[in-house]
Amino acid sequence: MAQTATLTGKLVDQSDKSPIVGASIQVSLPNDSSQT
Amino acid sequence: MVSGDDGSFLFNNLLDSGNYTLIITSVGYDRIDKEVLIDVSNKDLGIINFQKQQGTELTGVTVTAKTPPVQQKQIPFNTMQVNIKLIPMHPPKTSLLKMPGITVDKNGTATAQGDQVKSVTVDGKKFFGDDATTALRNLPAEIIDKIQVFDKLSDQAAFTVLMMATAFVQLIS
Repeated sequence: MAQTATLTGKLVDQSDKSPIVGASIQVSLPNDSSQT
Repeated sequence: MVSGDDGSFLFNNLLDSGNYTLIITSVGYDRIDKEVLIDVSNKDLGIINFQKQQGTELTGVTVTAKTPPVQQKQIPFNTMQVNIKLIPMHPPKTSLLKMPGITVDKNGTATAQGDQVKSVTVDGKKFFGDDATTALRNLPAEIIDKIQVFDKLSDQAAFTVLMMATAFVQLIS
């Protein structure tokens, strides 16, 4: 079974450090396909 | 995917290791493009600061419009006022033909609203007396800014209650 990885993070407003809700996040895979 | 209530996000089942490009967008914030190297099972980017977009003050906008070639206004005393844009060097009688309700016959006699134009005034003063045809033929079109045609009581008609059609020509100021 192939090993998979996870990517996590947290978005905050730079000025007041409040969380950014509903931001669109997309990762482009090495083979140019993408996951959103 | 979109960030959750606490701003967090999670991508799982990333099969291939390598450099991933992370693109984060949100209304009112600058876009983030971030290169992420995935080489272990789990990668936590931690806190990602999102910077608000800087407002840009727009310069003033000037809106211009051209005056309609023909404009009619309903004003008292059964008077018709017409603003007309004339083509330079066209004789005035040609311009009168463009006005609704105005006709000029082959003899140069102008008729407005069914009544013959009896006189022409320029800035309120009679032009060529009561000879409207001569007045229309001798008025240079390029000096005409506005033409008004209306039924007007003449000085004598004010007593005799006779109506008189008068073409009123104004000069460009």
